[in-house]
Amino acid sequence: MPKIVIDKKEYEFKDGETILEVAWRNNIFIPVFCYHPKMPYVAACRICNVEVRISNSTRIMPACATLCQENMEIITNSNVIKNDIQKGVLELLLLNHPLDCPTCDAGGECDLQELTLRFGSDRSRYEFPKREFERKNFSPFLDLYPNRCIECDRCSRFFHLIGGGTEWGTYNRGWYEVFGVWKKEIIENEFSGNMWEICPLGAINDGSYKFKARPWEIESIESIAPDDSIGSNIYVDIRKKYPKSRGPFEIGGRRTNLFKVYRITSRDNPKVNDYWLSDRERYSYSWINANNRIAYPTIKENGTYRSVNWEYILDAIYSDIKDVNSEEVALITSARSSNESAYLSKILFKEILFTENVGFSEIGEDAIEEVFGYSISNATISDIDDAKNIIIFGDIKNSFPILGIRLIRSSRNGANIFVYNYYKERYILENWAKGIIFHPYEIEKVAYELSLKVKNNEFRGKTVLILPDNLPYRVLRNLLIASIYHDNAKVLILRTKPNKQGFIDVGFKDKSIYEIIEKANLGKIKVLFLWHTDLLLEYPNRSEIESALSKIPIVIYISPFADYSIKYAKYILPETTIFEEDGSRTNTEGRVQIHKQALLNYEDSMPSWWIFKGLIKRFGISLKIDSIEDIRKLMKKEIYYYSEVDFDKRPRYRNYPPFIPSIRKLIKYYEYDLAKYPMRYKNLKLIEPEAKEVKPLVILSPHIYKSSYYASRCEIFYSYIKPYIRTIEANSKTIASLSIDEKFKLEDEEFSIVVNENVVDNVLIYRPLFFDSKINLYLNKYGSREI
Amino acid sequence: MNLEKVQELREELENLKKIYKKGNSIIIPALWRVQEIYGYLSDEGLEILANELNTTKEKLLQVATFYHFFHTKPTGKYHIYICTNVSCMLNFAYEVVDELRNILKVNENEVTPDGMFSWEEIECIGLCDQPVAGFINMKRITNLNKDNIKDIIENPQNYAPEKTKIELI
Ligand code: SF4
Ligand code: FES
Ligand code: FES
Repeated sequence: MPKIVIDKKEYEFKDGETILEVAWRNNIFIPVFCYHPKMPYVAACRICNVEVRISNSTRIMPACATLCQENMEIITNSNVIKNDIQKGVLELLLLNHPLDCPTCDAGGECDLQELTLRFGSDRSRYEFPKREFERKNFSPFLDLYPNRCIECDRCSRFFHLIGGGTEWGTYNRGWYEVFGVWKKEIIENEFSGNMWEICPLGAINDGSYKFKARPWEIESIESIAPDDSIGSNIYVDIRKKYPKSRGPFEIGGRRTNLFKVYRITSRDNPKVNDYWLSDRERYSYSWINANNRIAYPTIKENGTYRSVNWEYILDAIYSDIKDVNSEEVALITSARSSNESAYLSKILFKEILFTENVGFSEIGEDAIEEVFGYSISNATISDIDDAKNIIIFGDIKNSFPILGIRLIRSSRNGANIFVYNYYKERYILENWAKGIIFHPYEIEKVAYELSLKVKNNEFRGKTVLILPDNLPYRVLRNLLIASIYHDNAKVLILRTKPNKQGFIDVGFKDKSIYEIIEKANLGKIKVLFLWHTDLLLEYPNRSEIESALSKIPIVIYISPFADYSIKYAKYILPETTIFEEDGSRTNTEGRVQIHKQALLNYEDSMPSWWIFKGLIKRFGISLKIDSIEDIRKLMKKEIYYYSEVDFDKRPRYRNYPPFIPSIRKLIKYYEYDLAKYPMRYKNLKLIEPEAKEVKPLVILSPHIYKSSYYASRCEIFYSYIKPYIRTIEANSKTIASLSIDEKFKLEDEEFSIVVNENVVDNVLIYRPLFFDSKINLYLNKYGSREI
Repeated sequence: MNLEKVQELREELENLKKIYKKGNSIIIPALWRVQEIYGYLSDEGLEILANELNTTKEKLLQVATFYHFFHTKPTGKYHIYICTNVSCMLNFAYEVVDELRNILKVNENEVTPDGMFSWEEIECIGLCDQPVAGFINMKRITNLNKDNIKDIIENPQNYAPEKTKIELI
């Protein structure tokens, strides 16, 4: 291996490595501002300058951007470097800096502070007026102070190269150089929140964390983003449990700051979110203290509610359900709880109550299990990176935003991306992908043609199909069958419920919730458990659901939030949320990821595994479970897939300088285990598509900040979604042919029409706010309606 | 939308595309054409450019704002630059600037109400041997002083063409 000399010692390097990488690896910590390990270098700040001696001439060069060569001799600690370069660069960077650290949110985790203390001089010789910019805000997520900027170009680089956006940029030159947005009100990129995290100082701050706390009062707890099934790794930042600084503040005898999330920052898991987060994951946390959280176990008796204690309510539930027939018990959940809870609920429902009525979603039928032998993807998320062809059904930006980072990256690397949808979404409009746009009724035909193409290997090279699991049964089945003909075609199933994979792994089988609803409407369901879901919010066809719920005598409502269906409940059990409990979740590719308890339980709420444990005990079965570890041990023994999963995974470490706050976050990274799944592919035949006549259709479609169970409760997104304005999008041809002009009426509701040429003909799109989609009343179970 | 201008810009771009074939090399000449046709980098011109070159307006602006000679705001029919760098300043460039401000009654980068003039200070343009130096519509004017600047304002047509045309290599 070739070698270079750094500070008189020899080190090995690989081809294409920079001086900085070699130095850091060997504990020589050269300071940096503009270099960021997850982004390409630009050499904008020059704090990393070192002396490079090559063939008898010495030069000053930026270590972050100079590739190693044989016979290079590098000096990082000479007098020139220390006194002239590093001190000089810092003095220059600080020329225009307002030095307002006491009022800056980044104070305490600011690269400029730390490096000035270590390498800088204690005074400036500059005595002229400082440059000042007007302060503008372009986003509710960010808080901008352009005067503090040191022009490191990290934000613009992130925005262009990784977030794929264009509106953010660095404008003007030299003295007047400033970052920002040109003549625009609001940034529309869904990754903008990452910019405050990579900004080495406080020029870009977290808008939601403004003036809330200081970094040394904060503790970061490992957790998982609950909004989608990708399970991006996050840190939940809370007030230190025993702060040495200020506090604690007591209000009404309760230390309020122990119940609050201060902000969410990203945690590096190269296989999942690769350090970045989408804004939906980063800013959706104020639901934790939503005003409709349930505080106490409550019983409804003769129309009045009564708060009781846990023992009493569990006894009451037990005496109500103990004699019910197993066909008459049902469970509907949206799979938002941990694997451990899922496992205990499986014991209750499958081994004690013996019920078959368990539903997670609209569709129910499982084409994946039929074709693959087990319901799991055979591709991983990181397979996107080296794929030659990526075929996507549905909308990534609005449903699984974080995958976009990988899509943009592979599109830049020359992958062909095809998006099948009924309107053109971001990745098509911005030319990252090729769009195939069709009417929803043509989906079978389109998918069949695609299946033939995949089957005949018309896509050369590695192909990854990204398919949401709620595609119509025949569509999904055909595509899956086609994929198993070739080794280079793989399928990544996107679970539409956050922990659905975990629920399947512990032994549940999905059944359409509408099947259960139908049964209930016939009076065949006596006991219904509604667990962490709200039917009236999440599913269309509301009138049918409402009549069913009113026919069930005993509805047991286990949830953190009091949503619409609570009025049908007899027993109301408050459940903790992901940030208030320990647990594990299996993401869409089968990776078992761990989250830890960050906050104390909200009032009297309890983790759902504890609730199920109590019920199981009342049925006379003692499980010897005292903690989450006991359940994990049991799971490892009983569930074959998880037998080799390490639930106690430690982080791994990189050799990065510990004294640079924005780099320090990257020292630790996590790699969780994939569960082990048996795949038994079956050679089935493709089903010919059924022709369906194209008709004008109103259809529900996701919106990034509206459609998530958690994010839609957070006010911070309201500047993007304007919750109470009801609009329907359609292209001008459809509008003309239906002869509707400004207003569109459906039954007794009125919607204003927005012309959107990106929607396919004969489709009217409605993006429901999770919580107030009255339009649900008129839609059928697949979320559409002919007009 | 000014169809004539759009048409002209499209034609110019077609010609440029034949010369500048690789990568981003076309951006600067194309920006010059927009500025010649519209007098400044107008939104309309930039949008057309962005479409033709398959980039975005913001990207073009990031390039354009780096350079002094591109304008993102409208300019007068005659745009005057006065150098105020060392050699010119020592030869009373600021007197010329003050005189300009007095006659035109507008500040830097503002347009006179009749739309005829606007002016701007610049850094050294390499004519230090004939201070004070400057440009009017990219034609150089040298040895300026308080008096001859008046003449330039009165008879600008003697000094410069109405429209700049930058010869590109
Ligand atoms: S705002 Fe922050 S990240 Fe962006 S250039 Fe300035 S210092 Fe760098
Ligand atoms: S120039 Fe190397 S870190 Fe900025
Ligand atoms: S200083 Fe004015 S042209 Fe050089």
